[in-house]
Amino acid sequence: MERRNFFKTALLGGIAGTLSLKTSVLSARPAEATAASCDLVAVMGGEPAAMYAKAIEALGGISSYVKKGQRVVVKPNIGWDKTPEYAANTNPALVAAIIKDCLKAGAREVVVFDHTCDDWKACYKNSGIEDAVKEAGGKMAFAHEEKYYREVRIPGAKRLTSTQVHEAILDADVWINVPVLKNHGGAKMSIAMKNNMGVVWDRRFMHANDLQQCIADCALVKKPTLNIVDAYRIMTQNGPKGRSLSDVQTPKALFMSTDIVAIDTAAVSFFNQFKKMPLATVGHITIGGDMKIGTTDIDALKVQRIKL
Amino acid sequence: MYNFLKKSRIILSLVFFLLLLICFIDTYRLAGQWSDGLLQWQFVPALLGSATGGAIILLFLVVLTLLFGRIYCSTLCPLGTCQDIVRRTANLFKSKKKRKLKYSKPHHLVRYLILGLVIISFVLGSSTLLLILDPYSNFGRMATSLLGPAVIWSGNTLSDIFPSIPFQDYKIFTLSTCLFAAVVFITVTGLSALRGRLYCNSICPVGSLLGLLSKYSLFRLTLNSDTCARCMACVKDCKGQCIDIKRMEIDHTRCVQCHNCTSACRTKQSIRYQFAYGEKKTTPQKTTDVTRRRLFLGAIGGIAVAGTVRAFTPPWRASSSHSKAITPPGSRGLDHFKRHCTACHACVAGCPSQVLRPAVTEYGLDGFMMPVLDYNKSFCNYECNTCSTICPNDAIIHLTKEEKILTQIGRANFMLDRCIVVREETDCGACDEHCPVKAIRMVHFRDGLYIPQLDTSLCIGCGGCEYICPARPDKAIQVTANAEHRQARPVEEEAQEKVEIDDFGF
Repeated sequence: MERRNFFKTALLGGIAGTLSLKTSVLSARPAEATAASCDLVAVMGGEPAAMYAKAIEALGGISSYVKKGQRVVVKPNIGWDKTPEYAANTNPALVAAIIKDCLKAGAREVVVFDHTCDDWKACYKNSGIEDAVKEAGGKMAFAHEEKYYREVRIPGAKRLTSTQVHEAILDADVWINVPVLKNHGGAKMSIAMKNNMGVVWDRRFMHANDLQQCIADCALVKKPTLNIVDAYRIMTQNGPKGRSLSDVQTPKALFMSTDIVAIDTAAVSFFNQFKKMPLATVGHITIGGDMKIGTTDIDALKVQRIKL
Repeated sequence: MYNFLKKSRIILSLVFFLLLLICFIDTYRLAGQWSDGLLQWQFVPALLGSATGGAIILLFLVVLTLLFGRIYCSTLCPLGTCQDIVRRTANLFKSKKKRKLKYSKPHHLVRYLILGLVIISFVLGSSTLLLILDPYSNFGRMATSLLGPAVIWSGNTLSDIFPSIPFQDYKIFTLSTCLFAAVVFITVTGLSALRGRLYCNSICPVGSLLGLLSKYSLFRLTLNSDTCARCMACVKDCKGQCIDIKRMEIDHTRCVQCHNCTSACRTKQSIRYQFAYGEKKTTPQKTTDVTRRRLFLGAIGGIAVAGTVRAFTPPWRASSSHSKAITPPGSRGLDHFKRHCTACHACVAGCPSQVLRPAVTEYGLDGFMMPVLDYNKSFCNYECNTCSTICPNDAIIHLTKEEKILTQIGRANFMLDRCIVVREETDCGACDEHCPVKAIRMVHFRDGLYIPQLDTSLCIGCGGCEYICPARPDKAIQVTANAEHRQARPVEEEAQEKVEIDDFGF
């Protein structure tokens, strides 16, 4: 096993080494080079696909982020064995719209996965995401076993200095973080930064070693190319799993930004219209701001607000 | 005609064998659950599950035996077919001479003593002996514990080459059960390679019982001493070793209706399968008396053994009543479960989350190998009722999803001093996250920290909290078994006003 892993790593390392220059040119640069007219987009009042279309247009179109032949990962929240109405998982219609757009932009493949909390087969199926992904032309990846994860060091992290991360994220040219907006018993809120936890194998370590700091550290694993917050349905109580439909509100909104801290800050402000949740109590977001992973100062950003 | 009987027996037995095997080793759920209904057609499951439809099957099996003899043993019983397969394979490596079987004397004393012991101990409330000796359950354990890991290992090897095959962890491995299954496998198939159906005719309680019945069956094999050439062709092929050519007798209690003899007969007419009701018993009357006496002896012995097991059980039970002996949802509680379960492991093989594994001593000595919920590597899926749809014994009675989500198999206990929030003074809430009924809520503790608060009336004992709890060396939240399952309080809707907004709030 060890030897095989060594060969794999060596081989991948070699490939990565030869390609590194090219990928950095392709993936990291375009975000700055595009004609994005703003830093953060907030859309309200439409169906998931329509809101996505408006938001991505405001951020310069998908081709600013996904280039021909690239490998894309779309990482929704599929943590729970719940159907879409419960807002425990990301809206499958939104996931499908993103995949189709990426493929249209010429992506070689679009991979979707989550390290689920409930039984993975039930989560993939009952969330409606597996079917939506297949229909949209994407590919579901397995994430239920340690063998799909690789150990990486996380430079700049304070507690989670190294961990096993899903191979699809590590191998992707572009990764799009697509959380659903939820309240969370442990982390207070579950949005983009918290959704990042689903790329890690050992979640117990994070819970046992200052959860809020570990979630912030996790954002340093690999910066998402885009963050898209699904707030079509949101879970305002009993999160993150929820237990009945009365835990759900339906504001029909969507947020999009390349700044993971800013989008979480904005989403918390939005959430406060339903339930009180001071930003200061959501430790991982404020830590993220302090660590300069992104900014909690939304007023300093160019925000575009769109109502459909 | 007789070739036809033998061929039909071989084909049918292989079909049943393969279908049953699929129930136990289909870890990738390729076949779904369509073959699980077959399990109820086994003798012991039909007997134990007679409260829910098993009675009809049991009646059918008894009538079948009274009509045609031990067809069950040669066609339906997977352990029987397993022995035949091993014997046939072993014969490939033997010289022609060594393949030959010969008549052997019956081991009636052993047989009926065992049968008596099993019956009496079962009547007195212990299914331990039945669990150890039932051929179907032994087959299930062999398939699950010996072949199951091989299937997963092969699948995992293939998953390296074909990424579309999911890698699977094997969480249910239990060394003691594997060893037990291996010993049984080696013993039973070893005996069969050397001596045909010796296990079925000297140890198996189902074989002994059906043997007794088939003494009176309407159709049976008869020898014709006038035409018989004494060539011994039938004897050499008789897996039951029950044809006594010297006395021109067949021991019907040991004949498993394999029809090797009828198709082997060179005269084609000296051994026949025919209506023989009322004909002179081929076994002398004397034997019957002996049988009766031995049954009686067995009964006495059974009472003694059952009494001993019972007398020794309380300390074990006492130790298990407050602990981790969590029985599957639908099993009603420890007593019902122990009474009905023969540890065939169909539920263990079928559990999608692999939370069920064979017990070691969790249930006490008399619950060895019975499935127990282990929350170290997994937990019980909230809306899953798979095990209750599989169990053929009624040890796990069928639950609808609505019933399942209210069945309290145990209750969580929270130990504050072990909790990460208290010890590390950081947020955690892993248990709260996993609780499907919100029996756990995060309440304010101090300095903006929240700790879990437990409402055990809502808890169903699924073990999600215990499974995920990151506290070490001892978990801060652990489920304790309910010796009798209870009804959890239904989850109440937590009404929330639907808020209409017109702004983004930032």
